[in-house]
Amino acid sequence: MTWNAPITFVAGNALEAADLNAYVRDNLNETAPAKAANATGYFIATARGAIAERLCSAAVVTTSQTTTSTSPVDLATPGPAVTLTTGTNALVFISAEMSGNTDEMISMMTIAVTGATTLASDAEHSALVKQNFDGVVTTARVGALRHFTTLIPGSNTFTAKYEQHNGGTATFANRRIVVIAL
Amino acid sequence: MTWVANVPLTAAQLNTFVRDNFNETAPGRATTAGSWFITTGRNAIAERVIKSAFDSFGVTVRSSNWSNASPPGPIVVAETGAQALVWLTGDIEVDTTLVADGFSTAYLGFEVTGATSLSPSDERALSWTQMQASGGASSSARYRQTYAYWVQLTAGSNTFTAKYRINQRGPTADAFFFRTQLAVVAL
Repeated sequence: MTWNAPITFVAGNALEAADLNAYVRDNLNETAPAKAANATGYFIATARGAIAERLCSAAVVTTSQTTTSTSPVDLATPGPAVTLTTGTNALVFISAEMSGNTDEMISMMTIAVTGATTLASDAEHSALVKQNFDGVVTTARVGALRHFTTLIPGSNTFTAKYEQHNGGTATFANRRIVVIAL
Repeated sequence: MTWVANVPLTAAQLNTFVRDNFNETAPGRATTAGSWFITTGRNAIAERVIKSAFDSFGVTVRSSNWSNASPPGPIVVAETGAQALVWLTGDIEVDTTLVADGFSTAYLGFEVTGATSLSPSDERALSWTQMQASGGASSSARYRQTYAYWVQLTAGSNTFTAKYRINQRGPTADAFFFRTQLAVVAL
């Protein structure tokens, strides 16, 4: 069933069942109330004349865990992760409390995508802390927003990944992810 | 309108109450994938597009006045209603090698031009303060931060531009900004 651009009715022309079905019944079935299925959903255009219901979701892992990996990995407790149906776009927000135990080292949290789309973690859109050691470890809650615009529509899973650079052990706690499907 | 038994149904009624009303629904107004729908008043909606701009390069700023970076930072032009959520993200670092026994605060903010004129402000900016004691280490901490700001606007085409400054206390310090992103959720 698709949206049919409403016709202009003409005086004197017979009103036919086919017209009412195409331009009233079918179009009503393409409107937001007809497509609403979940509480707290919202509506996103998927193309000209087409909308879809989308959802927002979040996940958190509070456990403090560490890594010495210099490439994106799971911690002992993977995630957090969120799986949602998206179009080509999504807004994803990540945050965590981070620290490192070596001067100049960088602790980093990134986002990997699997499912309909496969996108490796990208350090350009990471949340990070770079230490200025002086013998004192600094812990900060930091975050990052990534606006995905090239997803493959469908069920996509967004998973937080972790790494460190310049030597040392990076610690992450209260790890959060929020996904706004578009 | 309310349909009434035995009253002729006219083309004009169908055009006004069926055709024209359908054209005001979300699918009737949908043109761009990824856009969403915002009410503009009673019985009225508009399509709004969420836009963002990202600059991967780093810039150095020494000015205490709000300024553009060189090259300029991210810029977003968006059609908005009376409000928008402006989301700033960026790495901020202050070079402590130039600061002796003082502290400096670096700010990443934004201005709005076009339908709205809104100057950058410390209250609508990410910030990072680096303190430096005499004889302290020469390295700098860096944090990638993000925050969303709710702004009131004049409806229309609005341009959002990243702005930068450093508030120095003590000798001259440099602020470094990396991977700056500006996202506008138009309402």
